[in-house]
Amino acid sequence: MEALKVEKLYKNFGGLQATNGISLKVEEGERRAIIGPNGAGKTTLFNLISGELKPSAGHVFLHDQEITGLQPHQIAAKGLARTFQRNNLFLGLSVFENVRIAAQQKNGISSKLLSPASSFRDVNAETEEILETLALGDRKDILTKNLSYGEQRQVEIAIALATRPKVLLLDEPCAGLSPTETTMLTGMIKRMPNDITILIIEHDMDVVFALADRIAVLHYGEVLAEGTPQEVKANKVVLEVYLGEEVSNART
Amino acid sequence: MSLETTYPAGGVFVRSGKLVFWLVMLAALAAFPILTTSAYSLSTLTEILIFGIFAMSLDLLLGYTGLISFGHAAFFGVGAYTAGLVAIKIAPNMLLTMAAGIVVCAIAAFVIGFFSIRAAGVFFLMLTLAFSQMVYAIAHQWTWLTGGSNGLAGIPRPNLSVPSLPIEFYDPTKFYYITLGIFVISLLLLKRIVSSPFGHVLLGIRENEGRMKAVGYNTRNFKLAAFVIAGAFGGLSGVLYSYFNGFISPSELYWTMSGQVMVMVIIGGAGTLVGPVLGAGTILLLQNIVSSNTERWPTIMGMVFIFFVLLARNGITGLLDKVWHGARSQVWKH
Repeated sequence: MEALKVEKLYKNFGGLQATNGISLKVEEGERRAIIGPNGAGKTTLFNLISGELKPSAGHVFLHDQEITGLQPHQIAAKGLARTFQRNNLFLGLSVFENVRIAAQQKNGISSKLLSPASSFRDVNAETEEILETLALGDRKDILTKNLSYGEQRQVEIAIALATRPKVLLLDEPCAGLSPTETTMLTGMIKRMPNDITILIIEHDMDVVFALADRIAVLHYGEVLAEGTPQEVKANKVVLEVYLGEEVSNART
Repeated sequence: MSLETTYPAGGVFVRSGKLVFWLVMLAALAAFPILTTSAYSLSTLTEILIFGIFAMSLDLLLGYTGLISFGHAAFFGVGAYTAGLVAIKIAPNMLLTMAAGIVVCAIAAFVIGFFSIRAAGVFFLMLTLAFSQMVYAIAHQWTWLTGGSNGLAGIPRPNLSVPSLPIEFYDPTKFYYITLGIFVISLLLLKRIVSSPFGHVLLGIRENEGRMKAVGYNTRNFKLAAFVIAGAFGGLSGVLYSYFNGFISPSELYWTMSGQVMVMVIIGGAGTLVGPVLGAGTILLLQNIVSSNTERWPTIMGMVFIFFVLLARNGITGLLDKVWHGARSQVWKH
């Protein structure tokens, strides 16, 4: 069964056709990379799936249930989480609070008014666990704004993971990271449980090839090519418009 | 406004130190009527506690949820008028007038909040201001009910008459203790609320509402709930004020009152609950001292406000924090 299905998704901003009839089927548990040059419509596609933008036409299905046009919080409650290209955090709160706020939503305790948040042991334990998987355990009491950029990138993912998503959209998780940080974060994403379906936008081809089961190449708001990493690497059209240089670099 | 929530490290010692501090503060407040014979200072302190509740209720919106409400006087006024009218027309029973004031304010807050939270930022501010000015106009013009610009006079002192145990509070000391009790209960309740999971959702909304939606929160409902709670506590302070003053005029819900309580919150330190109480104390004390010597009170209040906004964003509590941490790090060095 497909975890996520996108059917002929159109979005135009005034005269600009940001997505031009994108269709995608992502299987449950799959790691799907979305690549393409700047302005190809990758982030717009994520915004359309997660409800930040309303499509001009087309449909989005999450586990066969239509979610087209729903509000972001409704879509999130159905098990879709995302990270953002630019850090989108609760900067004035501790790292622990950042993750716990997301974790408590799923646990349905957010309307509890008169018991201290610290008394909900399940949620706290869950928060600790997620912090550990993202190597943030020893940073949990620090205000998020005082973290390094790379660590903030990790919190960005930790918040999304804490909602216990079935489908996770990662928008350039490694953007702006050093090679060492990139390798570390790629490892963390690779170790995520198999029952989470992951779509990842990424420009770093090493990351893409390390993670992806399949790749979709976007170009001018359309799916230019789709296939396994080997197929995409061998695709002449893709090489021309986008991969060329980086693939030949990777080979040397 | 930079609002920081810090979680001080440290174990039992820091926490029990804090507890001792609060118990000493409470004991000092409880002993105050015994230590002073001045009716004037007792009445000033009573007024500070009442405005402390008012300022704390706004802090829930301003400091914790990041909602800059500029119409909070509406709830102070509606609470005061409701309690006054119930006392005059039905019965001057404390529990009855208080319940009526709180319930009517919660309903008013639901209606005002329902429309206002649809807008954000400066538009939210303008909507709350507009609604509160509408409430002001009603109080001003519905003369047969509210007394119009003459105000609502002759509010009888309420009693706590549980049958066979009538407690009247003609006595300022008794009224002080009742106010203190209600103040402490309000502070503890609001403390509980802000440290609950619900309170953390409010913090999340303050920090980044968009991300809250992305992790699955219907933020509108939470903002409305916060608005209703703040309105109810604002109303409670208005109820107490009607007992305290025995008279209410429309100026109690004019926009300058909304401005004054906002200044109390910001000067005291938004997002701390205790800070706004200190802010209320500072403003009321300064007002009393300055205006008995000169007529330049508004100028001086303006300068105080400018000082805090430019040089001490985190308010009085922020300054106290600095002093406290400074003192502690001095100790550690030796």
